[in-house]
Amino acid sequence: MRTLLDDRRLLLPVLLTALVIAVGSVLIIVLTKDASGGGAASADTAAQSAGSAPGGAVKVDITNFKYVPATVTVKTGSRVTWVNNDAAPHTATAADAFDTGSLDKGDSKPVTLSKPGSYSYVCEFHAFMKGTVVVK
Amino acid sequence: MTAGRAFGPADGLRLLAVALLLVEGAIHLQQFEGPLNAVPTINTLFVLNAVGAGAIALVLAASRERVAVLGALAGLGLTLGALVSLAISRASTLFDYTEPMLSTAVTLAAIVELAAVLALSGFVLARLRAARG
Repeated sequence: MRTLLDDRRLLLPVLLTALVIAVGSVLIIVLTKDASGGGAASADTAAQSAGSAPGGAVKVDITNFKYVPATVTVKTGSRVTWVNNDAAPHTATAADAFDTGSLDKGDSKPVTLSKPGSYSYVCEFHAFMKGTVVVK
Repeated sequence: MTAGRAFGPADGLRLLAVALLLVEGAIHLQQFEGPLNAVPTINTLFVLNAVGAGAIALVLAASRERVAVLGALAGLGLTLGALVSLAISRASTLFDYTEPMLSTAVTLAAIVELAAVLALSGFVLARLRAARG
């Protein structure tokens, strides 16, 4: 009846393994935070500029599993472009209205909306992601 | 401090399982801090996995053998749960979340979890065999 740490030969490898993993995890977390910092700032900017457009082209960013802005209002015949900034693939899918198909990181897909109405859409892969396009 | 018997295969499997559980927890923690932070429910489950894996690794490393076997069984439950959850999210949807592609982190996590299942199972079987003998 003993523990791994009762054996002095094992104590050092166990502690070294734990130390390496702990330091590695902290490094990964810090690097991940640094990499995602810029993305959040650009998403805020997009929300301000594209929230309500009189017509023409509107961009919706997909960032951190959210559509930014979540609601856009456009004129009939306007083009809305979804841009995926996430590592995970996403779609913007409104039943019987439009579907961007799967967008990998960096991909974008424009959709021209020709009929007035309010279109709720979701991501086919992540149903908790919701957005709305209002066409007037 | 020193034990009365030599370092055996069960000890090796136990040490390997401790390391693999720590890696499993680290991957889940990294995914929570990074890409999955904004995903509801899944992000909580990832934190719980990381905390659970760390606690079980500690129990496995620092407990007497009977408690360590219970820790290994808990580790098997945790790791098999993670693998089954991954399989469900790949095949269909888990808490509104689908994993449509095998990213590096997902592949690495699956490999580590499979290895952890083997190491934990091996350790439990070796202890049971020793207890019978």
